[in-house]
Amino acid sequence: MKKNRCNDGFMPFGNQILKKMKLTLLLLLLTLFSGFAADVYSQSTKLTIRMENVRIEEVLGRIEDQSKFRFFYNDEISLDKRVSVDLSDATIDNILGQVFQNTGIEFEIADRQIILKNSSNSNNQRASQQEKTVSGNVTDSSGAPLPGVSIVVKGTNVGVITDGDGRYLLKGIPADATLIFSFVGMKTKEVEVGNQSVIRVVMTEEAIGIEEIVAIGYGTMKKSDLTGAATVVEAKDMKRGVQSSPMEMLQGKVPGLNITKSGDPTESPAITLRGPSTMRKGAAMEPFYVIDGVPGASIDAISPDDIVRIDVLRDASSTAIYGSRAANGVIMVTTRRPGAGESYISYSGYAAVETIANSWDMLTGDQLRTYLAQIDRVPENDDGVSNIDWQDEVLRDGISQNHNVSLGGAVNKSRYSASLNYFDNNGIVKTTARERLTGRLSVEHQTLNDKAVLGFNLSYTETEDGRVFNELFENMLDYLPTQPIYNEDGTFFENLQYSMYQNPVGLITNDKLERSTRNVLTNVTLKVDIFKGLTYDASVAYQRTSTENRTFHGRSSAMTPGMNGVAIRDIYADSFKQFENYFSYEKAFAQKHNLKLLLGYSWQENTFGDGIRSANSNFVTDDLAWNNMGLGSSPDKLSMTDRYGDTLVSKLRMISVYSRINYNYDNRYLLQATIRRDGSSAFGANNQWGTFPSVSAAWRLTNERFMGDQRLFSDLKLRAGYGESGNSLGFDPMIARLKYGITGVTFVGGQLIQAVGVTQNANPDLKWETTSVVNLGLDFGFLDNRITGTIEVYNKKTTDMIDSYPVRTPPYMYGSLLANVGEFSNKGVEFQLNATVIKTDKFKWLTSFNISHNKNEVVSLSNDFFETPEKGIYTGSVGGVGQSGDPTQNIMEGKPLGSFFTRKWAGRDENGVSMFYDAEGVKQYTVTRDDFYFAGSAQPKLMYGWSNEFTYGNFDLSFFIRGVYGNDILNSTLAALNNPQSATRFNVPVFTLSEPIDDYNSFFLSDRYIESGSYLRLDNATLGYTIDVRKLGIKSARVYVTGSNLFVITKYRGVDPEVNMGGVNPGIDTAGIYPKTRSFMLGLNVNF
Amino acid sequence: MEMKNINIKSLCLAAVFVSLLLLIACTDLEVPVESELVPENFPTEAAHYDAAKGPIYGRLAGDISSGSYWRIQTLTTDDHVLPARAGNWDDGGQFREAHRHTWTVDHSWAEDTWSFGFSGVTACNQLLSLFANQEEGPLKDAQFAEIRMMRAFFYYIMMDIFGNVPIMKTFDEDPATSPRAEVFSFIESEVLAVIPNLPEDVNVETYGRPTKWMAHALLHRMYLNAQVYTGQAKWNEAIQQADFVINSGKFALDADFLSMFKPDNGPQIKEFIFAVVVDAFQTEGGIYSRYSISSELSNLKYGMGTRSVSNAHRMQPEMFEKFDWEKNTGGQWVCTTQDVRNQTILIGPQYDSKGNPILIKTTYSKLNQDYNGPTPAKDTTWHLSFSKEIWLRGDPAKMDCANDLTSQFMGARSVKFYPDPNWNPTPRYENHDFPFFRLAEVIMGKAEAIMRGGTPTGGDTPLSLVNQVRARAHAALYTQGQLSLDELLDEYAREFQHEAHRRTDLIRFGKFHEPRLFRPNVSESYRQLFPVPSNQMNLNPKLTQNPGYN
Repeated sequence: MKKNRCNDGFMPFGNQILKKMKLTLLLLLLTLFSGFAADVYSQSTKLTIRMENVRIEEVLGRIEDQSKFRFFYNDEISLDKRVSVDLSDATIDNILGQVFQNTGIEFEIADRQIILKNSSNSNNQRASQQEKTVSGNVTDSSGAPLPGVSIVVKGTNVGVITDGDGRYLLKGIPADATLIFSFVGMKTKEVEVGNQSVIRVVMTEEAIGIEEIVAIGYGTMKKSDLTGAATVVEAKDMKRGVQSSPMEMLQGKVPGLNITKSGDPTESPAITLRGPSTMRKGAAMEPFYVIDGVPGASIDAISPDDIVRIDVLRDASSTAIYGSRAANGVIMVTTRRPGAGESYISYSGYAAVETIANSWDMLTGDQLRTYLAQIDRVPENDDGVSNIDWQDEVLRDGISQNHNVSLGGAVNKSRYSASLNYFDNNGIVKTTARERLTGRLSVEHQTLNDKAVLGFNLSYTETEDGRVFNELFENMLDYLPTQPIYNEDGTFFENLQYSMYQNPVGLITNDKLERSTRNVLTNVTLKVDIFKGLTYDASVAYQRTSTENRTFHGRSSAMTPGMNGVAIRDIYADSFKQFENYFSYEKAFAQKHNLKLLLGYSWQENTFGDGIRSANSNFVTDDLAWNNMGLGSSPDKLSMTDRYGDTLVSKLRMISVYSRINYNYDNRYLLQATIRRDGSSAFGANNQWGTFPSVSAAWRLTNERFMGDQRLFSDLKLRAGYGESGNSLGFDPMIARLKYGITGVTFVGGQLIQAVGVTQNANPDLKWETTSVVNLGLDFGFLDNRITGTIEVYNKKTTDMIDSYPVRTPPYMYGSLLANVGEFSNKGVEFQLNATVIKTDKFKWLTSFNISHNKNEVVSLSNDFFETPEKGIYTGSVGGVGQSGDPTQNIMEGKPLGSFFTRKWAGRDENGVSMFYDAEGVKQYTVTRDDFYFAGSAQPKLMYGWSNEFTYGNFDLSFFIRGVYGNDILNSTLAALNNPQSATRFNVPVFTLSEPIDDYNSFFLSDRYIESGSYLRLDNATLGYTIDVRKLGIKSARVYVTGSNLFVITKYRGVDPEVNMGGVNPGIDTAGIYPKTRSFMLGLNVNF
Repeated sequence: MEMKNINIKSLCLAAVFVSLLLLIACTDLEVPVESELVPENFPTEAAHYDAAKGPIYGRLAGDISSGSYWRIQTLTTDDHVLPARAGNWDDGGQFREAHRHTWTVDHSWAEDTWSFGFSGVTACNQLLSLFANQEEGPLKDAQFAEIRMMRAFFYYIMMDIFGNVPIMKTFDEDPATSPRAEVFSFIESEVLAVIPNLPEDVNVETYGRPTKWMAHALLHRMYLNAQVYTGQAKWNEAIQQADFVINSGKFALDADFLSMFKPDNGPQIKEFIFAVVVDAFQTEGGIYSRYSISSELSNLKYGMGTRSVSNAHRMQPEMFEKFDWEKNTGGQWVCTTQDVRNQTILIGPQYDSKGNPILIKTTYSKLNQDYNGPTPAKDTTWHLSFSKEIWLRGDPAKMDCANDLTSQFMGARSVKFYPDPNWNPTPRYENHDFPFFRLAEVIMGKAEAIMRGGTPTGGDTPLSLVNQVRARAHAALYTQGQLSLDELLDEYAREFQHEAHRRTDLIRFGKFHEPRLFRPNVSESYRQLFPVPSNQMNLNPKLTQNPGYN
């Protein structure tokens, strides 16, 4: 392919075309024919140039301006000679042939790169000298330039990255150097420099998505060698928007991973993977995070801009290496580090505006007056004129901005990277906001004859959250629009007759809630190559997260009437110290056998709740809020818990040994087995240690001889695995011990003192919940991997599920006991498909689709010792008028978690009053919970995500659709609002106008408020343009606009069907929910 | 050869690392306890024992002064009623079931009371086993006497409400249900056994704790009700126990009846034999005003600020009629006697703290939803007023009296526990201590025992005894012939209204099952006892359900 034409004549066909074409007087005309065929640019590009008596340099400049050709030459080349050119529709060969005729300059066309040299000057002499300069370009097999290819001088950190046109220039390298060209998805190529000064490299693709590297815990592995279920999401595929947590970027991207979040910038998303498998709340439901190799580090301390990839390990054969904390899957986050020879400075930033996506249509004041006039009533405290839209009063358009600067580089034996991120997200509810600053620094250095690498990482995050009290969300809907915001004297209008009934504007003014979170994570790593194949890794990590909550109720707060102001400030820290170390050994023998071994030990000690609380009341001013606690003067209006809180310091220690063996025979048969033995001080004396094994195997059919002839499959791999992992997340370290605590007060000697009694039974048998997963997988690729995909089928069983069971006292000291009793099952299918639909020089369309199905079932809640009644555990009470304590869900055997049990609506009587069926099927006005029936499940049948990415020239366009199908939602917000009988006191929605006004049972929760939660959402659409700014010395720049949550298709009558799917009571839409938002953002990414 | 050398060197290095690994590889999971009380550090010294005994008393305030025990004793009788208001206050039917005697094995008050009583018993048994290792001596004897007396007290409540309950004498016992009479004997023998070691002093040190006199008062009440509890009357025993208390000289009828129920009541009240200590900010309970009055009254009359109070508990007309209120010819409610106990009731138009009428701006239809006239939305000003009568206008099945002003102010109100301006405004707890036994009960009980056939002692007659109580209330003294048993029951109502005595009294007088305001029928006799809660039946297969509830 290398061409070196010197003093050649015109190409014959060039002359023919020349003759056919009509000459024009234009000095320059460029016509570019660019088809979808993968023609070499230099042959397909025809130029028309007419220039007279100009310097050669000007001709070259003109060619560069009007085409994609670029010239490389050094100072020795003289381009001052004047020439004339008059050619139409000529190839570059022809033109340059004419230009350089008799100049003594040779040219070499390497597709778009043209290198000029003096024909008399031999470079052979220079090649043997110490240093030389090499330039060239890198393309893919279709001839398209490859930007971002890493070129490193072998054995050093010296290297460069190709620019936006795939060009590079390496100066001062040894003459005998070997260059390593590497690029994700391409086969790495090594080239000896020898006497070449121009090296053009064509890189060939590795099978897409198959040669990816997957983080597997204590190491990485080629995806093709993987035997378990893991999904990698790279930065470019993550969903971007105004996101306060990195996990939001994965929403809809990973089959089986269900992430839900409201519009609250200060709230963490709820996450479940492959269905719920515990009844404990909080951390127990969440996956386990490994951040840059530090297990258990905080995901919220990472700036989304810094993340280059997230690996989601889904089945127990993948997660078992993390033992007792891995039952909900493992999420491994990798942040940006410079590759060898890479250096970068990047800026990315955006500004965004968020609005409420959908709001409740409540009556205006006049509508309410008219409505009530029908039944000769008037709203309470009606001032006759007010028409307050309380939602309008407390909502706003939220403006957000994000700026991220990062730099990294590799110098000699050191690599460094650093980044700084500023994120400011103003929520759509006034006073809600998150402001966050994240800094990260990472340095590593090779030493001991390059056999050891010592690394140091430090990251710090400071988050300031402005929050509101949940009372706001219900009040902004049902507070009467006929009441004024302010009294005549300027104070807030309040009606304190009803509890939880407060002026919404008063709530965001008088009642303040803030939270500061500071997270520091530092670790030192050591990697030593002991001898070929054997490596030792060690890491010492420390993380400390301190949280400060500040509450202030002003003197006229309707939440604390009579208290004359209440200020509370508490601050506590959770921290851990961690030591991880492991040996890994890799050995290939007899050509076809490949063996990898891992043996490790880890020690971790967590400290929780190290902090203090202070509270006071009766303040003389609101101005100083919580900043001068001593100014209050009536502490005995606060209980001991109010004053000092119940934050208790506790320590948890976890010790583990783990091992893994991987065996690969001829890239056809793959086997992996892992075992981890975990000890935790939290568990009962009899069960502090647990063992978590796994085994999995894969068969790569496409590497079999009998598959050699077929063309259809480029990849076909069958996988099967079994593993066990535990769930010990979210446990109080004292969970298994007999505990005394404050149980009230007692009157001794004329004063009240704290009474101390047993508050928790000991359970020496308490142990972790165990989740075992059988996973079958099939990876496939068609048409040279233009289409790839994965199918997973799994059966996940959780045993020894922990719940609190009522026990008798005696023999127990306390009325309930935490015990391992229940059993959960999740079975499902997951499917993912990626395709390169169209791929030409200019136009590319990539698409990716995933869909998953999970069936959740509570298998058992009883054993020989502990029994749960047949009807199960009543739960999910949302309260409401006349419904205090009424359950909405039952956790019962044979049904999924999130099963709705409620009244069966029986229509209305002749007066328009709702009736309900009792257990015998008789219509009644009032039924009890014994008459409730199974009315649906909050668990979706299907979840899916579909992303599309188009690039055309410098433009890129992507959109992302996701949704769920087949779940039910209890619309308790609608039920609570739909109460015509109380419309004199609480506003009603427009919906209520269509209901009989005399229905005094309208608001009772029943199956008529159980609605389909299926939806399809255009979650994200982005249009980007890559600007050519190389002349400014900038590698690349891209501007983009993104719209998030653009529309939702759903039959759901609430504001948004995406309600919290985590926790023990999924799928309940209560009026206390922060509304979802729609956002538009304008962003800029620049790489220097 | 060279390769081999390198390998050997490397292997040495590896060996060093492995030994390092093993050195650090500790497997010690013992973590210090840093902020919790656990058996290793509690109770280990003398001062711990006062705190450790605390749990015995911990739930008294919440459960007795206004919780499930109070509700069972009050809302199942002619004392108070809590009707629904347009769906509000139905709350699973707990209030109407109580009033109509239709409760089931799942009634939450039964569950709560069972849990309250047996957690008390268990706390006592736990302490008895915990304290068993203490050095023998008067201190241990006194502690054991206190704990056993309180256990007897909890058993008394269980026996009164559930009748047949398991008797647990030690912590690790797991017994079956015992018949009520056996439980009675157990309590009796326990109390008699510990009396010698209980304190005789009545002062601030013994306030809120069992004394010798509390033991006698408990036995007095048990013997007075012995016919109900065991089928065997014990009138003379009741008189004997009453005399122990009366003759002790430790107690006196407080001159100011109303002062006993003020928020600042406490050790200074000479009449309290056993009081449950309540503090608005440090205990639960003491919920009176929250249920009895409206926010206009709490704000304008009682200086408690505008707070969400529910105006929900109503005094039944039948109870109200036992007091000396009458409508005069001008239609105004007036007291016809000097009896100060009349002043514990609000009836008719109300006035603020300065004596001005409390006026509510409203409309015709809001005042009365049944208004059928031409101008329902017309503004009007209403002088807040409690009616004597309570009637249903909503769903009768729900015992619902609708939710307009008329219904909200139906029924007289008890402000016996006088509204407390220093209450805890968030949970709305007040500060009054709750008298469980006071001298008046013992005096009147002695009178009743004599009237029922007991032998008079100390020259007392029923008339002289009851008149002591009436004199203190500034009520007209009974004359010979006026004091019948029926009259005595009414006198109990006037004296002990709102003090959670009524159910026990009505049962003793055989009037618990009589038709009530919203219960036209006579209730079944088995309703005298509450059912063993269904969750307890599930937990302990040895329990026997009370008759009628299976």
